[in-house]
Parts: sequence; C-alpha cells; structure tokens
Amino acid sequence: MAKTKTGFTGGGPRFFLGSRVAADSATSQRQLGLLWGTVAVVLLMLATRAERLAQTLPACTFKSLVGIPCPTCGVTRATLALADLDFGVALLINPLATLLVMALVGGGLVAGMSALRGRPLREPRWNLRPAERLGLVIVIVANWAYLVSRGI
Amino acid sequence: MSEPIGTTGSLPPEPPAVRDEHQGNPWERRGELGASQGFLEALKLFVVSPSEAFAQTRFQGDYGSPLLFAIVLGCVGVLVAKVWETLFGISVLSAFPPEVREQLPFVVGGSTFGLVLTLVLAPIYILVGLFIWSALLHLCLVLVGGLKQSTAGFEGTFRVVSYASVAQLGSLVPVFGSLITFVWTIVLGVIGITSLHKSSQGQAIAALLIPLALCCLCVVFFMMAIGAGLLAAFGAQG
Repeated sequence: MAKTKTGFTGGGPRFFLGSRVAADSATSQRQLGLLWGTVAVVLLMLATRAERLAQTLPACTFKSLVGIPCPTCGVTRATLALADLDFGVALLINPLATLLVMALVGGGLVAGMSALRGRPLREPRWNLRPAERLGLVIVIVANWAYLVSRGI
Repeated sequence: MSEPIGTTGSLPPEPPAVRDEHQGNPWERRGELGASQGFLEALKLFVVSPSEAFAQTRFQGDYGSPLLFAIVLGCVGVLVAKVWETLFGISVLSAFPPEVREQLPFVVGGSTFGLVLTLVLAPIYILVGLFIWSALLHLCLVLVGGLKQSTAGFEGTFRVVSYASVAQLGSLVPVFGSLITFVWTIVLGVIGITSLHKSSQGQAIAALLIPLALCCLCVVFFMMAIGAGLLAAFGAQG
C-alpha cells in the first residue's frame, strides 16, 4: 500500500488524517521560522550584554584538571568575539562553534523573515547516510584537535 | 516493538489505533478539556505514565502548545528554586568554610526585584534554552542515526524537550532537586524520543548523552572539583 510522506496511508478516515497532518506541517514550518527568528533576535539583543553574562560562567574545569581543552572550550570567547563583530578572532578561537553560532543567528533571521512573508521553512533531510554521519564526527573531532593543538 | 503505522504489508491499520495514537495529549486537547484541566491532566499523565503521555502526544502541527507548557513549568521551577534558595541557601552557605563560600556566590538569590525580574525574563530564556537544547539534541540524533524512521522532524525533538520539562517538578525537592530533575529529564527524553522519533532506546540514550558529555563535561568536572573542595575543607576542619 502506498504510503504518504507523513507515514499515514490513504483512503477513508486516514485520508482525512493525512491531509490534516499536511496542513499541520505547513503551520509547523511557519511557526518554526518565527520561533527561530525570535531566538536569533533575543541572542542579538543579549550580545550587547554578552561580556557581563559571560562573567557568570565558570571556567573550564576539564582544562584545569586534565590540562587540555574540552571540545567546547572557547565557545564563550568565540561568542564574545562575534558579539564584537570580530569574525576572524572568533574563527581562530573555535571555528566550529563560530560557524554554529553564526548559523543559529543568521539562519534564524532568514527563517524569521521568510515566515513573516508567509514562506514556510523547509527542513533538510535529517536521515543522513552513515558516510555523512562519519563526516560530521570527523569535523567535531578535527575541531577538538585544533583546540588542543592551539591550546585554546 | 509495535510497527509504525502505515508500514504493514497488506492489511490497513485498525481505525482505533489511528485515532488513539499521537492524537494529542490532554494539554494538546485543551480546546475540549479546558486549559487548566488539560494542563493538570497532562501534568499528571507525564508524571504517572510518561510512555502513555508521549504515545498520545502529536508528532507535529503546533510549536505553541509544547512551548507554553514548558514556559509555565519553567516559571514554576524558577519560583520554587528561588524559594528553596531563600529558605535554605543562606543557612546552608553559612555552614561552609569562608574559602568555599567565596567560590559559590551564585548559590544565593538576590532581592525581590531580582526575583520579579527573573520571572519576567524567564519565558524568554526558557524559549531560547528550549530551542538551542532541541537543536543540539536533534543534531545528536542525526549523528547517531536516530531519525531513520522519524516523521516528526525537528518539531518532534522540540516536543520531547518541552514536555520533558515536567521534570522541573523535581525542583520541589530541596537540596537534591537538581539531581532529580537531571535524571528525570533524561528518562523522559529517552521515552519521548523513542515514541516520537521511533528511535531505539540506545540511540535515544546516546543522543541525550553526547551533548551532555560535550557541553557539560566542564560542568561535571566543576561539580566534582567543588565536591572535592568541600570534602577537603570539611576534612581539614574535622
């Protein structure tokens, strides 16, 4: 039996459910855009107070005990550099975190604007192939190796 | 494990199964039940029978319901945590040696104005926290291949994270509240992910532990250092 994108089969009451789920999906995608956009705006507003907020965070205990940076070391400093619009410094401190934060804020602004214009946000294909997943793991490990080599 | 709807061979699924599963937990059906009753029933269901609660939870269609649910619970959690801090924080801190006390300035809350400000800003911080934590968890689910059978997408993860904030009720327990909340959140997360994303328990546990290992490694070590410091300080006093 043919299966719809949502996993529901067609025909009878299930057809009704399938179309409702499709409508729900469109609503969801718009709400996701608005939500992501709101988060991005809040983060941009917090950027003005980033330095003060960062002071409340504890130093990396992993690094002080083990002697090497943890995989997330430098995220705070990279974010602070980004808050000062110092992209180069941020990338030098923690490249992966910098790209993720930029994607979070930049993507949020784009998604929010699209949602406001009534254009739903399309989610990417989440079910990656094993090779693609391995690639992601390699990126994370390589970023950690970079942090260790630079003694971030 | 039951097979997902629509993947069976020749026979169509029974209508009751289609109707009952993921058609909305009491909070998502608050239109029929009323907001307060829907909230309380959902709360009870997530506490008493989280598997059943997540089995009823819709896959997608509305970010607002889980978000509102989490904001209400989060505000309650903040309020309760502040009350415990006010009642116990100062007295507990006063029992610590001065050198330890200096290291824990964040344990004691501020003024009434600070509390009001925290409560006013809490929904914004909860929204940002939920979104970022959901995004991290979703990436980890991608990494462990936990979304192979999922039709819920990012919203499924957002729903799991939001409804798992029921674990904030753990903060009602003084002193050990944070630990209870932490463990309870993990348990609810595993149940939610297996239900909404059809992931295996192993994938769900791995996805939940990867960000904790990456992001909270520092926090874990920090807490261990504090514990070791406390032991050393009290040991020196004794």
